[in-house]
Amino acid sequence: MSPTRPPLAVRLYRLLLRAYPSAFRRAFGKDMVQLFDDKRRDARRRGRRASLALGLRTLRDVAVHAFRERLPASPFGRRRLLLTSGRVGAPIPTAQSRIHAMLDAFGQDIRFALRLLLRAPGFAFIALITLALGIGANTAIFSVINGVLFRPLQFGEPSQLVVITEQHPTQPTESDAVSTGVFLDWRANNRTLTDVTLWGDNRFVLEIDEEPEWIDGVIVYPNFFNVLQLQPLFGRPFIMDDAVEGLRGNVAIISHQLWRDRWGGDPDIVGTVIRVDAQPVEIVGVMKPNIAAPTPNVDMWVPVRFTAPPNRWMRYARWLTAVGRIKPDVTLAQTRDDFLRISNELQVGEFSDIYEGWQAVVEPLRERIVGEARATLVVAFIAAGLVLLIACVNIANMLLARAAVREREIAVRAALGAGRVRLTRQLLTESVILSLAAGVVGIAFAKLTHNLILTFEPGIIPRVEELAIDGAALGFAVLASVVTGILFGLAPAVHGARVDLRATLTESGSRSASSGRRQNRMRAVLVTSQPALTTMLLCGAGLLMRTMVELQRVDPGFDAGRAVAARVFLNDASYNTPERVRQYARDVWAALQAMPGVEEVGGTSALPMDPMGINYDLPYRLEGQEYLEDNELPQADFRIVTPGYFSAMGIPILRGRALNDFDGPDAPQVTLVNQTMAEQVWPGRNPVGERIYTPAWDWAWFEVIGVVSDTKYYGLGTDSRAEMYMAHAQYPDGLMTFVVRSADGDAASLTALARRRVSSVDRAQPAHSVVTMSSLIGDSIAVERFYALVLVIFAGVAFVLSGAGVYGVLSYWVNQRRHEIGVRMALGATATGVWRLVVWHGMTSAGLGIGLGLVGALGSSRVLTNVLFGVGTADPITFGAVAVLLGVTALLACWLPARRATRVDPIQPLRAG
Amino acid sequence: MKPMVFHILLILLEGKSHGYGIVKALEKRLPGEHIEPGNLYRTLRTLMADGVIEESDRRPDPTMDDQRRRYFCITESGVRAARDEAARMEGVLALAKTHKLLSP
Repeated sequence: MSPTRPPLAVRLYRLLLRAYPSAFRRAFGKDMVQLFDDKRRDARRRGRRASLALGLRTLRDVAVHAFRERLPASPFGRRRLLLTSGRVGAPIPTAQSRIHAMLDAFGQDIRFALRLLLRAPGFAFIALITLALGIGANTAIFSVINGVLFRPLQFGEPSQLVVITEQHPTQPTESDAVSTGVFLDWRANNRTLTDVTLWGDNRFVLEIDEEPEWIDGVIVYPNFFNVLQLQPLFGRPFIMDDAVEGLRGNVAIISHQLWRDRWGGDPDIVGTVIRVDAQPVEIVGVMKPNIAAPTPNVDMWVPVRFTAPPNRWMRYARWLTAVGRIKPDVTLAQTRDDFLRISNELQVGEFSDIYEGWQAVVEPLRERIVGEARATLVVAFIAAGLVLLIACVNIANMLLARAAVREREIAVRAALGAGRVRLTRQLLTESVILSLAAGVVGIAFAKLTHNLILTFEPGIIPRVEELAIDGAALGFAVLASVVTGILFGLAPAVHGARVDLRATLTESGSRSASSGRRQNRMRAVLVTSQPALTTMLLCGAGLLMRTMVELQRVDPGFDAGRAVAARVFLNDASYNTPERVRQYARDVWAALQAMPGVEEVGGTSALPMDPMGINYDLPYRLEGQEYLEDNELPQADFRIVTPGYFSAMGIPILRGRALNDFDGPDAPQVTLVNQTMAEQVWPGRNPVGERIYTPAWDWAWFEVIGVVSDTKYYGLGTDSRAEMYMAHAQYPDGLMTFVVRSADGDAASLTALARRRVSSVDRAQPAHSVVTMSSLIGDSIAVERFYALVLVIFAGVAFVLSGAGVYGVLSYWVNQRRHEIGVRMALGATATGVWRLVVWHGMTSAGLGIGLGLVGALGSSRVLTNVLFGVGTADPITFGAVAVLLGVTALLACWLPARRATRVDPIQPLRAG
Repeated sequence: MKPMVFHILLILLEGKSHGYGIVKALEKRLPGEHIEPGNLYRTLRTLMADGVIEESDRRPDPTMDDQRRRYFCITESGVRAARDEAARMEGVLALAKTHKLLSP
């Protein structure tokens, strides 16, 4: 019975051990393998990340210690581990002379390799650039992956932090928001958390020198900094009293950047009273620099003020994020059970109608932050890895060709006494030196790519502000260089060193049958693998390009080309009555409408595809449905709009009428519904004149006065949901986006003026931001565009490399066979026949490669499932187009060498032979 | 003396142990440190050459799999070296206390 085969990792580790001197290996090799196996088993129990970390540490361990073990002994004797010198043992003698001889040989190898590379500068340059592209791309992606997935979060003991959200089986929520009511219940009733805190995005108008300006901030529960274990740079964190209305004045902590930019780093800033949202606010602290808590753009932290006990509305509105810290001796599973228990209690408690069906979900904070980005990064890393592989294959090809040319030189050296090991090492040294040089160029290239990624990434890479090409990335570049050097150098080196002395030195060597066949087999593998890898990349890129086309073909339901949007957030202090809000909306409307070149102006509480939109579901009741409990009611999105909104957005009214100025506060309550809602609720009927009622607000019945066309509110690739539009005059809201439709189609030119006009209405209320609608649509597909960009760039590089690769191999093949072709032609083979021979030879390998690549793409394109839109992962059109494109390219790459083959002069090779 | 070396001596003072056992104990005593095979066995090799530890025998660990493992134990001169180091550290600590870095 044969013993069971050890796992792959252990076999790899055995291979790595060869880096140690054989004496050391003989003494400890077996124990080291055993120890590695033990550690591997431990790591596997802890999960994939632990295994990966062990793998990386082991690589470093081998690299460092094998190298040190091979260092020659210092003339001053071995460095001692013990300080108590003289007391214990004398230094052991080392095989100094042997090591020195080895180092000499090594130095010789390096010098020789450099000389050879400089003698073939063209080859060296092309190889260098090809590899640098591959290594650079991989290093750049690695730096992102390392920064995002593996670097610890900035908070103390980050592994204890969890995000707690809520899920409902029938009401999928878009965000991870929770209500303040449920948060307070969690905080009071949990048994597994040290504490739990809360935050919500917010923005404030900061007034310095009478110049109001918007800044981004968060409102937080006062224990926020304690839970995250973050200390301000100076000043104090919040205390619970800060949250109690009337107990203390308003307080805030500001970011390091705001402190530096707006107060010039004034050391006496703590205690200063500033004006925020037209209120006096005391600065109590300045945060440390570059802190993303919870996002990097936060400039101000303000404690929330709750009215205790929470009212129904505070239990209903889910818009905040809850983060807890697990007690040190408690597991994630125990915390999950704990919150399951709380959810179950809440569902039967006093507010069961609100909590019915809602389950708490506990997730590690890191998962939450990293989650989505992981798939993107994996795709990018695979793509970069494939490019590097193709680059390696290309260089291997070139080296193989060179090795064949150098057969004689190598044979001479072998004849003069160079052993096979020494020859292999010489050839490997050449390739590793080449790749190390490429690594240096690659690092520069990586920096460039890295910056490109950061510029174009659409906000899907978390913690982007912490990313840098750091020591780990540099280490990766060096490692990648050495590994690629060995990878592409090994085949030619083993090959080159295996020369047939007699045959080579007796002239006819380059045509010797045995070595030729071996080489050709290897080249066939290379010619096949390049198109295969390229096919996979091109298929991915093709699918994403089709996705982009399909997305851009989608009708968003409104006319984006001619509109700009200006966002306004009114502060509650100055706009504390409905009439003031109404008046403000009327004034802004008038100011914007009076701009030259404006066709129509309208306002809405939430704009399609706008990440800043305030959006939540509203339950509604139809006439005659009084038997339904409140929590059984269907839900719809709702927006509050002004009369001009639909025409400003170019949203057609399908039935009934739009809002008008008569739908005021004293008129009957009216609403418009979108097409989806009309078809869901009143299938086959005209909803105009029907009445609905919403219990969340204590209002009267609404009469449906019209049906509007659907808009793609959640993005081009999503389905429309049921929507209701209420009149702003009847339900004034301080969060508004004004849409200005240009008469002549040039929307961008309106932005600056629109901003000034909004400020002219109330100087303390500048527009938060003014953007064109088309840029909003563009931003909404930024993720898909980023994917497409990455894959198209990588696929393009791969395409060029592999085209050149196939051409190079075939040219070499033809050159090598000049003799045979000459004989064939002398014996009567036609030019067409020769041409066919060469093309057939090239195309069988390439065709096989394309076929294999398509099969590979079928599997690998599945990682794109979540990004694709309007096209399957196995789209026959894309795959077919890729196959044709690569087939034609391969044919072209075969064509030129084949034509050269037909021009072989039959006499010349015969004479030479 | 490097902390890792001192800890290895302390671990072996508690009884002989094999590579994995030493690593487990080390990683527990030096939180955040990971000891990989190359590092460990090069250190052990040097310690053996210095005569402060020695190989005891090869036998299976009763609590683990059935593979035979190489056990290490501390020597006379190893105990002396550890004692000297401890004395030296005590001297340093005393110095730190006179400078009010530590409460006595």
